Amino acid sequence: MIRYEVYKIVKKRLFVACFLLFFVVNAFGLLYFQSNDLLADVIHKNINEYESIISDISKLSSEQQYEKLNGMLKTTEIALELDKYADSEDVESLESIRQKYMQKNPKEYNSAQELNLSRKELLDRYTYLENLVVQSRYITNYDNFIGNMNKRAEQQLKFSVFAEEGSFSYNNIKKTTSDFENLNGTQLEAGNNSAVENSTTFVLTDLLVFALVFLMCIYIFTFERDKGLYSLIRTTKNGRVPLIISKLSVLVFFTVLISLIYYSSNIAVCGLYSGFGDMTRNIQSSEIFMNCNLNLQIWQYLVLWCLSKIITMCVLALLIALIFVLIKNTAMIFIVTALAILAEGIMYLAIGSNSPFNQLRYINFFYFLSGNNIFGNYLNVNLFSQPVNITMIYAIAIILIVILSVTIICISFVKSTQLSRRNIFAPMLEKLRGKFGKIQGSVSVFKGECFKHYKGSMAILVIVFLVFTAYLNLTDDISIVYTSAQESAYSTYMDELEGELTQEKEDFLQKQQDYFNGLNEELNTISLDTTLSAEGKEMKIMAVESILKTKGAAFEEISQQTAYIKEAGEKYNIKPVFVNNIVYKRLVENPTREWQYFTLLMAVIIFISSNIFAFEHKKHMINLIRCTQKGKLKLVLSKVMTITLTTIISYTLIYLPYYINFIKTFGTESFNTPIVFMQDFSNIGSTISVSGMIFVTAATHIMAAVTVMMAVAMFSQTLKNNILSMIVATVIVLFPCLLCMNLTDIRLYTSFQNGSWLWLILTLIIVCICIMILCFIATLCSFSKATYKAICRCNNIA
Amino acid sequence: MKRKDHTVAVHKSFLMFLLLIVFFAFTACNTKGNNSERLSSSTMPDFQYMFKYDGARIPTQKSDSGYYNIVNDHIIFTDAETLDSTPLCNKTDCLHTGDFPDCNAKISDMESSFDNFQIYRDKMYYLATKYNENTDEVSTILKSTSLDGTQSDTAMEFKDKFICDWFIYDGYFYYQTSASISEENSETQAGNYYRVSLSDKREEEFIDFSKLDGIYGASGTLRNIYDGYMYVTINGYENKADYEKIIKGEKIDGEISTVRKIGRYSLSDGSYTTIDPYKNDYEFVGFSDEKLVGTDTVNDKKKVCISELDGTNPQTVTEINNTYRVFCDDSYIYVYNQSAIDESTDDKIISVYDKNGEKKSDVTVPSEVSDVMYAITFGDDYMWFQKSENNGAQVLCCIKKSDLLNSGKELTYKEVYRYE
Repeated sequence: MIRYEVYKIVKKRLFVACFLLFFVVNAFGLLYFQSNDLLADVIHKNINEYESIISDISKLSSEQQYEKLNGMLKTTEIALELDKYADSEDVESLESIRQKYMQKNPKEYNSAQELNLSRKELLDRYTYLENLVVQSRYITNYDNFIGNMNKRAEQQLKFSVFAEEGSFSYNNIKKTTSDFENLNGTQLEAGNNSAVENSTTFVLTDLLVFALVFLMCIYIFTFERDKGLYSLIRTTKNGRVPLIISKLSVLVFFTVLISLIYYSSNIAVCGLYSGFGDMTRNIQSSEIFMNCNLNLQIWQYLVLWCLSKIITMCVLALLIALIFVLIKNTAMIFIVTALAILAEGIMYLAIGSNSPFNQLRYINFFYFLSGNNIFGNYLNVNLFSQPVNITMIYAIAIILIVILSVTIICISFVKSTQLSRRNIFAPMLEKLRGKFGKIQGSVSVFKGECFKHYKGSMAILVIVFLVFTAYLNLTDDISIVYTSAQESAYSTYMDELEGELTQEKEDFLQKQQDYFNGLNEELNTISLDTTLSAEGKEMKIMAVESILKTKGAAFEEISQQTAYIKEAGEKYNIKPVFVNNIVYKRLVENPTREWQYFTLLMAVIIFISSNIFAFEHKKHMINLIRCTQKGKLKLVLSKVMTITLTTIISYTLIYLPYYINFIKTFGTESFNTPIVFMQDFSNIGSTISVSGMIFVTAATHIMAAVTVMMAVAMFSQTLKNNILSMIVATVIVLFPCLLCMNLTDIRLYTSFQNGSWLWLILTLIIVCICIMILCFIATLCSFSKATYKAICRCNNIA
Repeated sequence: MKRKDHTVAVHKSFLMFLLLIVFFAFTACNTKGNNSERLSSSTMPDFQYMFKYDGARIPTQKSDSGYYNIVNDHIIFTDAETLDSTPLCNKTDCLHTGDFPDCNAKISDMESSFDNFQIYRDKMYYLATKYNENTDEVSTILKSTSLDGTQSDTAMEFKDKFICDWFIYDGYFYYQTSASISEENSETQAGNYYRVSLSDKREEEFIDFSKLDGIYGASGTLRNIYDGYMYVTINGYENKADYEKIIKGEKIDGEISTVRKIGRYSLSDGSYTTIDPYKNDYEFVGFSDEKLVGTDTVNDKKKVCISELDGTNPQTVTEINNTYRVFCDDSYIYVYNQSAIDESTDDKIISVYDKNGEKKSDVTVPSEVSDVMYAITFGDDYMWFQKSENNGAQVLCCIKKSDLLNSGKELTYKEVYRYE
């Protein structure tokens, strides 16, 4: 049975493909992450010099190391400055710098003269030396940190807020001191910590391993259920228990294997990229592990870390298996899993570390999987006023979950039927569908596809949901609530000034300038007035200052804006126009809305498109519908048109309400204004208007959406299963969207700000078109089961 | 079958009984906010009036065991007897610096304001600001922390409200909005006071300054809370025309008719009385042994006066230069011989008077203290101030009030906590 289960997994080309693809994505992702980390990248490029400096200083005491490294850093700093001034041909400044360093740091100055490195090499040297200096300083202070632990504890216990016996504070102080005692006298050494730091903090691996585990559960538990084979295989000679045990064993085995490969590859990739360093140093040699109370070497810690990841993933696999066994409907499994993940995520993110419910934050898989939380960061959680270490909580939670989940899985598998069930809403939906009429007689292919798509695949529910969110967006109050009186005053000015800069407006600005000049003069007069009492002066000064701080500050901003729009107008040879920055920043510069809407659109597209071809495969109707009168191409085109229509409707429902609401609230005063008149877009390099920018962005989004739609349709056809298509599409499309939400550089509006928008958008559109065409051809070939050779043969015969 | 039905019925009844007990247990735990009965074991009043002074820059509160201050976004606890201090963090493996983001003592989201801190019924409260990028909303959150710093929670959240002053008293959270609300949002008028019940979160307007008779463009600044009343300095214009010119940004010829009064609002029914015993611009100073201390300035002389809490029966304690600063506590009146605006080069001296106007002592103020004198938190037994050193260190210091009675000597202070 075990062999059969193993064979089931290994034989699945999709599983093998995903395993390899995710492995490559993980490796490249980690490399990208490291190359974007300045320190890791510098170490990678200068590994030999870096390691040689480390080996030179390793024989010195920590104080000597610090002194030597400081000296080397200063030398590099001097060399950089001399290089900067030498380039600028400012002989006077160069000479004064030379004199300054010859007097203050003669030794380092002489060493700097001997350094024969380019500017780039000097900068790199400065970066890694600075890192070594920081490490050295940390190591010097670490002795005090550990050595004074008892003293700090005694000091804390003197205070009544902590000294109450039996309270959590009291117990925590006592426990912490004893837990760190084993680190007294620990010798730390500076070294190359990149491998251990970067490999243990990379997040993507957890998501990819989880996706593979989920995929395995689908194959192990739903494969036979969907094909109705459970009735056959559950009648085994030794009973059902060996069957479920073999399934769980295979699941755990592959989880262990995948986790081991992925997590150890992370360590290998990081080590190969920026060096492993001396792995026999104590783990506390790296500052991020300062609060680790385990007396381990780096390599031992990495083994422990790997083990904890593997165990956590195995337990997660068992929990997913529990859901698969208890719930017999595939769609419900997906929903329940998603809800469970959402609940855990919300508890992890929303509950603070000091909240009365912080147990829910710490006894949480997100916490167990994040970074080095289990072994790398000492933490005691308050359970009934007793400090319980997080490692202990982790171990207990894991053991309990394993025992419970295995027991419940076995009992459920043995006792309950494992036949696929329709969900409880299906009969109600059927009744509802019936009320809207059935298809009578023959229909066009397109209408038939629409019927299947909206009613069979529940795309209509998605549309209803989007209509609801569109209504919320449309009726949401987006009027500005000012964060300060200055902002409010700025808006009042903009009510007068928005639009083209006319002579009338220039006169108004001049009058206001005169007014504020007058107020400043009055301030002087009041402060020199000796007839007023101190309080009287204070009152009058306050009255004038309150105007200057609000309206005056707003006018200062307006003046700067005036100068800028005049400059921009001259540069592009257009009339200067005032734009209300506060209002239009909301429209064109909201980073979160851009990615939120796009991610929602992607999620909708994945949901609606994944079943377009899989529907007939699941119902075993594929050979029936492929023999259409006008050929398979028309059928494929109809299907694609159907989901394209839904995509466009979805796009409209997601994006349009906000724009309508915006126009309703603020009007379209500046829609035709060149966006270059907003200072944030000073580098845009063109006179594209606000509405032009919105249109270009919208076109890009639609193009990307249709491309993703086409790709998901291709998955739907090739994988023949909507859940699998959704999983693959989620990993390839949705996960990157979620990750990009926090990266401010990856935004379309950023490209407008730095002037690279034209080539970026053109490139995106061309790439999208190419992908669309490729996906369409692949889908068509797969659908019509035509191979390239067969097509050539047909052409030759013809 | 009958027996099985009976067993099931018994189980169901037992379960219902258990649920009822649990229900009653939870309801019994629910404490009502607007119950005037003191629920904490502390001897401190609901509002610690002794730490609220005009210009005080060192947030200070006191519990039965010691003082709480904020130094560089960290809560520092100081033992009342030994004056030893510690950050309010029970983690021995924490050094309470910026490298320790999970430090219990750290308040990273606290709104930067000097009065943004109150101990009320065994919990510390402060306001934090949260900006939601997704919805472009700014929320102000009232957070509560246990007195040992181990637990914190959100007591209330206000969306799109900008709170410039607040306090908690007798089960209500009172707050004043800042003068910057959108004109379209007419529900919450700028500068007015509102109050929210801590138990049922019901909100109501408490003070509308625009309804005050005889004062135009009135705005109020909270001075203190004492014995069920809030004392507010009300600024405005006596002349309506002056006020209208000011808001239009027009210049006013001649003297502006500004006015300044002390207003007293009852916290139980919101009734208002003006405290103006001399029919002049009476200045609020503080409270002294259930009396109100204020000053009345005429020409270049300032009278320091004690009256009943409603301003009646005023008695002059002493007369001083109109530029001098006045403090008080339950025992004495203190006069500092320097002006807030323009410090003279004379010796900086604090003179101590009893309530009969008899001078008790003169103490010289050292330069480190005089530099921060106008930001000092006057307190009960100790005065608190903070100094910054050249190396960036923030040092919390205190002066024992009883040292002010050592006439002829220079005042000394103690460094309580140093944040590097």
